[in-house]
Amino acid sequence: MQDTEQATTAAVVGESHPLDPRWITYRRRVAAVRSAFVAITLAGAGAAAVLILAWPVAPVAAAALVLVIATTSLSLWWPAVAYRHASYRLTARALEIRRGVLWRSVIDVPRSRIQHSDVSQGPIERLHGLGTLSVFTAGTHHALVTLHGLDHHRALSIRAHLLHADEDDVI
Amino acid sequence: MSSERRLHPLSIVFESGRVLRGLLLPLVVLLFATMNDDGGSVVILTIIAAISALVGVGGIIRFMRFTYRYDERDLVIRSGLFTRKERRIPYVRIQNLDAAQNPLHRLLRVAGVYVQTGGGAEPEASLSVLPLSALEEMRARVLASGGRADAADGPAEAPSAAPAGLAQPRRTLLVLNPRDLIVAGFIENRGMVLIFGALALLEQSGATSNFFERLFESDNAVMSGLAARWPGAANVPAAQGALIVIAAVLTILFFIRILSTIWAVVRLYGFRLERVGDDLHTEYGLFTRVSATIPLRRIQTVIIRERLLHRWLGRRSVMVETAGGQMANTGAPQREAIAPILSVEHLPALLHELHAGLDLSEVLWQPVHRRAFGRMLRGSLFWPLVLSATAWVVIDEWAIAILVALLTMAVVHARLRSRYIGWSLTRDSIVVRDGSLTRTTRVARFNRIQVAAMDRSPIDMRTGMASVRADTAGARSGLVVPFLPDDSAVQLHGEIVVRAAATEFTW
Repeated sequence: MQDTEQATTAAVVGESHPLDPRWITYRRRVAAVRSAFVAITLAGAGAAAVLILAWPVAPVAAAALVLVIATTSLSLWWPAVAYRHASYRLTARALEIRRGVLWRSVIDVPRSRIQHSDVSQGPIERLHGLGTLSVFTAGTHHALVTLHGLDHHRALSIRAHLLHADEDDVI
Repeated sequence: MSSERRLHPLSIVFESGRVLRGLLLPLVVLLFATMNDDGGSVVILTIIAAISALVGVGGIIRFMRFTYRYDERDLVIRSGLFTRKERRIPYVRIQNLDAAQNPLHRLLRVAGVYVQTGGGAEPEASLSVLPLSALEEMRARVLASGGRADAADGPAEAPSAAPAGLAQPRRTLLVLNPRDLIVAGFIENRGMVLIFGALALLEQSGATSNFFERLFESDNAVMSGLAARWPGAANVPAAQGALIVIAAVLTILFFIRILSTIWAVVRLYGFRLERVGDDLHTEYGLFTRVSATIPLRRIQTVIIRERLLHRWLGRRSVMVETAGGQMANTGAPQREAIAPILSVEHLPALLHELHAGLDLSEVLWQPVHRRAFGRMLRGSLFWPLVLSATAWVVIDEWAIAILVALLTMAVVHARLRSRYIGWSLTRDSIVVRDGSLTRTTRVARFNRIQVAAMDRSPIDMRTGMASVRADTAGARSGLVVPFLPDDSAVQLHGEIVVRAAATEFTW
């Protein structure tokens, strides 16, 4: 198991990697559920406006419909865009994470500053075979740096790599 | 393995007092409210007596159950009313031992002791109260054996801690007399905090609403007086009201400054900063005497502040951020400035103590993007416009005066700031400065930098700028350089990562 992990991480270390493509599907499905809730809420609000406040039906229905279509299409389209702008790179020196479409960040955590790391899976992440790598530092603003959208095994091997590297260091 | 020790017996009184203070205040208020009602006050008194008895008994039990001892590597504290809790704190992890004494503590020669470890806002353990001799013993044992062998800041720094904390080299770095404190209080202007606190109290008793009602009654003496001096003004209700408001505001602002000055003198009375071995000791306070220890190696960032008045009077203010030991509600002292005020000439010497080899005068400051001024200005237009628009509704054309004033302030602020922001990388640290009228310089060694981040907002991307942040432990606002040109940002970001990764971080 260790050899396979090390072989995997050997492929991981050094270059920039995108997230796992299944992350797009995962985000889309989550977005779909959210949009359903938004649609229900808007429908309810619209119905309340029409029935209780006696607003005219046609404009309210049109407005609600437009909002629902807008939010749904935005939340279904967005994950693919976010995917294109997200990547990570693990070198001997640091873990670098890039993300963000409108607000872009490049976060570099030197390996020696990683206090500990976790790999976690939400239930829906598990269904898609994805995992999240959480890296804890002693910082304040970036005390916790997370990398979502990784293949679960890849996340585990990255974490193992981080741990093993710690042991090899002479402190 | 040493013997189990207890707190000072007076702890029962102090701790019970503290608990009762929190519980009883509402009850006492209630008591006064029901004073006319005999039945009600008897009930309240019984309740108060019952609660006091319970708290007293609880205090005695807690005192009996609380013990501490010095093991070879840890401080072991056992406590607990119902559930027994044993807490082991390795000496290595203890960053500070802070002590606080109010006048009663001082009279009885005891102190509340707070053990601070890394990464927490609250003390890891509170020992309230210990006799002063026990505090000295704890300092000696804990800080002397605090694992100095693993200090990895550079070539082996020979630990200057003598065994068992005896005869450590003591050097006084700064002493502030009341005159310095008056200047400090006046400049810092912390009076607003007190004002808000006082106002909150007054509000509860309804005094404030009465006050404002009486002030604006038309047959008020003040109003008549003003009307007599400016006969024309009496006919213009708006001017009348405005005069009152302006006079009141100015008086209040002045009063706040005075209050802040008095507060500083009381809080920082007898301020003394010493270097004892590899630690800094600060001591201050007129009524509540605080004594704090800051091991040098726990210092994450050094912050030098200069407000406008500081500059005019040739002074500065120095603070440090340490990991652990920020403000806590449990009565532990706040992390105070290392040098609440000191003259510019003495600054290099103090900085040398905190950060050997740092010479601010030799720093080559790198500027930010040349378009930063325009961008800052555009960003600061919102509030002047909004405020003058609202003022227009009330005072018509006079709003233009307000607009001009606010715009001038915005331009001055943007100009000063865009010229002042700068950064630099020295041999072992990153230095960042920011501000316009109030200026702040922050220094952090690379071995204290945790994470390097480069962020770009949508506006950043349109203007070709970015901001770079070097994250440290215990940071309030952190080392951030905004408005950097893209290539400088990438270069700075990369450089920070390289240098931080090349060093090792130890608590």
